[in-house]
Amino acid sequence: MSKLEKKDLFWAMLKGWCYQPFSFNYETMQSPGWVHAIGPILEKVYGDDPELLKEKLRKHFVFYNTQPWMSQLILGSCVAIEESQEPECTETAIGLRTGLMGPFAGLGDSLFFITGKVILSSIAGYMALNGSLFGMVIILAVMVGISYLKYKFFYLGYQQGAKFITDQRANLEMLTASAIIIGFVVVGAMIPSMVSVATPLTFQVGDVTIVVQEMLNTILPGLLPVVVTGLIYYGLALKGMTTVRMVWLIIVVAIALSCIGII
Amino acid sequence: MFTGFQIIAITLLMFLSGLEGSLSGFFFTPYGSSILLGWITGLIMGDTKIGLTIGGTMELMGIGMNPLGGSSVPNYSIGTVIGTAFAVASGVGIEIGIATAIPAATLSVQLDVLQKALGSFFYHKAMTANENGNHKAMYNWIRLGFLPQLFIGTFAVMLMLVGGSAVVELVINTLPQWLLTGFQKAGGVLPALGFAILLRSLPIQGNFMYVLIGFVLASYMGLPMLAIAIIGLALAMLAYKQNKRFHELSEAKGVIDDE
Repeated sequence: MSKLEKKDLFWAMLKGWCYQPFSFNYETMQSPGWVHAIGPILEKVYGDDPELLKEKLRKHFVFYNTQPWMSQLILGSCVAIEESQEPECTETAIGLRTGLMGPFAGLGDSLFFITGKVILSSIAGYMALNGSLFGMVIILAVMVGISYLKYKFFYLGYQQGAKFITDQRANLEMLTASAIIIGFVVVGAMIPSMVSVATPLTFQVGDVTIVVQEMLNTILPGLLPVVVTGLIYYGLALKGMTTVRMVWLIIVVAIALSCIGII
Repeated sequence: MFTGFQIIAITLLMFLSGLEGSLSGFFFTPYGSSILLGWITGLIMGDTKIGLTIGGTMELMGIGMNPLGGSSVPNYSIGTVIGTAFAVASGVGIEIGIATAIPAATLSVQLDVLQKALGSFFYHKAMTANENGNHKAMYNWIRLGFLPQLFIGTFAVMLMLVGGSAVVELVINTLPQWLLTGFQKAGGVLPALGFAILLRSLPIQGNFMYVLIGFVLASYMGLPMLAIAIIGLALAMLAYKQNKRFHELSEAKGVIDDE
């Protein structure tokens, strides 16, 4: 017998939609936002036993961190598990949550944040540099689809439960591995077209002026951007190197090189 | 340098975009926020072309910079808004915009660290409220923990607009041309960092040929980015089909082996 009504599920879905920024912290990361979403469900199901409810909430407060959109699937299935009122259901729910958050973060990050961002940001950014806002229209169209997913994932998790998610993992992983290919193609294309570095150097040999950049172009168009990207790629692996340090390093080196007229 | 209206409107823009991005997450998302912010800031300042250029530059710089697993990355939203505002107000244009946007975005990393550190306070308050059996208070503390995220960035932008005017005016008058040019060159190189980070975070083994294909399509053939993405999509569909077939075959084989 189910105690949950349609509107309880709807509110949980809505709070799960935007749970991530709620009291995000370095200790348990997204767990407060998670409690904010699932708490009212627990209250509804276990409200007549305050001690048990307190104990359950305490367990839901432990560390949680995943890709916020994929989280809806986990939230939905955990709501279903808690609704079942099985004796050890909170342990099951938290176990499932902890087991899935890593793989889901990997899938969601590489699909939505890495591949999706490479494609959409590069196209829209490129158009913006040419003075067009049309790229944003493409992005908003994609966001309509993603918003539907964020809605649907919750109910999918709730109705199909954990088994469905586990069954679909192989399929999801294949989908991610394929989608990443678009990311690689676009990154390969972005390096020569978006990294702008050229040298104004010229040499005088007898009567002939050699323009270094023209010479480089005949070897490989986009040679300098490739070299620069390669140097940064290996530089990032240096000990003690962080992204922010690399930003400052690039600024300093670029200013220095531009001063002495190399770039 | 700025009118009262501009300061209020831009501060409000930062606040509302932060609110929208966190709650409904439809317009100000991981994709294209800088472009939209640049355009709107440009609209407020009276030059959308500069706004789009700065926003587009910041968007490209931020491509590889994802706050994965709770890490902090430069705040390109703040960079875009500050860069656009100063570029238009100073009358100097893109140069000064890039020279203010990059440091503003990079320094804002510290704000992100601060707000996540503040989150602990609200988390502990919520935990205590649960121990006391006061659930209403628990939810309220969790909700209040959203405020640092919303206000710190907004407040920083407001301060930079109010206090930064004098600094930027001084900078424009005294900053040597070589430094401005240097910043612009750095702006051209910085997207490379995003791509390098991406190549590090993606499974490059077994996928490097796709980078080569993309490179040739852009550098030798000069195809537009959308065309290249469509070719990428076709390659991805091919790979998916093959993977699926392989998966089915290996599963079928597994069944036979079991018998």
